[in-house]
Amino acid sequence: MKDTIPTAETASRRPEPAARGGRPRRRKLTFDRVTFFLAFLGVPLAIFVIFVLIPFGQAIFWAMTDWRGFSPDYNFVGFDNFTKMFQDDIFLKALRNVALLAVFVPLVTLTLALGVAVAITLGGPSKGPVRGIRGASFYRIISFFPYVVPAIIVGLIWAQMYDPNAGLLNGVLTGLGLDQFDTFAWLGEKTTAMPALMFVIVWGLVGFYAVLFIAAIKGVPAELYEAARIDGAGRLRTTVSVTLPAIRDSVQTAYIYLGIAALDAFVYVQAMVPNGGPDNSTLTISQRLFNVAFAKQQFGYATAMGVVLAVVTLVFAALVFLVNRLTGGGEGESKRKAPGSRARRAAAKGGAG
Amino acid sequence: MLEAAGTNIFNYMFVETYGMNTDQLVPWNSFLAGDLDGKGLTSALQKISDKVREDDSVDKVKVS
Repeated sequence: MKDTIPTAETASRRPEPAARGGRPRRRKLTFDRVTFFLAFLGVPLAIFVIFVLIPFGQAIFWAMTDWRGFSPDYNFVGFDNFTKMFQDDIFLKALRNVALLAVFVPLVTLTLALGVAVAITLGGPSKGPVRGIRGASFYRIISFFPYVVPAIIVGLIWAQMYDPNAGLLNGVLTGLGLDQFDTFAWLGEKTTAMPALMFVIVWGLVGFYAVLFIAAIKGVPAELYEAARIDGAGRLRTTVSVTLPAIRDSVQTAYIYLGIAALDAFVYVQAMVPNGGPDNSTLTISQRLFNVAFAKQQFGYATAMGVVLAVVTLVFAALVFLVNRLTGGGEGESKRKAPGSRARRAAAKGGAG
Repeated sequence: MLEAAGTNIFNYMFVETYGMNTDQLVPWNSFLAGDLDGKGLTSALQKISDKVREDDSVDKVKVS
């Protein structure tokens, strides 16, 4: 009787030892297997442990000392650095600034990137097949240009653009007749420094995420869009109810990447407002860390700031995951259902509503 | 003259020694932009110095 059972099951599973209750029999350690494990598991693991995990541990240890960077001895001070940090008004201001960056930069960048991506892939005429606007590939290439320029160059160029006296921005604005911008210091006023900085970061990154979203949207079956169109959904409705649910995993990944970039933002701020901006209104944690470590030589304290920044980054990522999960996305769901089923349902709902 | 000053002396290198330059530029910037008056500037600078003074982890240079 046993022989009549299809062999697919028995072939894939080792038959006897598991049934006996013992653990599966260990395969013979041939030379091939050992070298395979060493090369493909041992080497990456060793690199990861030596260059990632051990430095993590070291950083947490240094964060609890008063090491001065070049001093041979140091004292273990426990959590003193952390209590000092949260009484330091400058650090708290930096924390507030990176919180602002982490809230606004991903939101604005991804909204713009989604707009560009939708226009390029789906924004075309409403008759015939679903396609992008005319000259879509041209715009796609153009939108990627700022990302090709290195971040430090972007920062330096925009620092010149914002120059109060000789800057291009003020030149254009006064040329248009807005004389109040004659010597307006965009990076020198408390109210405009942060938005100006955010604008540059968004400008530098939006193209990359537009290309990312274009790739994600190309992976969504075109029938969904045709169905949505037949149901009478406009472009905005299609974007919100079909595109966004279908590419939500890409959006989540992009959100976390951008959040990390915004929490750091060191290159941009150091190029544009190296001393923290007017009244420290653009100071970031990374910048403060840099000054504390290399100007004040308080390496222990600076390392503690780095640890806090890492914790803030992890909290941000956890928040993004949580929000995605609460709004009905997440890993488990997409694995159980066929990709796009959510979008299909949403499209159906959109048509009915 | 130094002897007459007694203990009311300071090391003129104190800004660099304690790495306070970047911190001090911020109130100076506000002062030159007109957001701070003289009193605000001096109290802000004093606050930065006090922070260093009260920090046990900073090794103080002996003034002589």
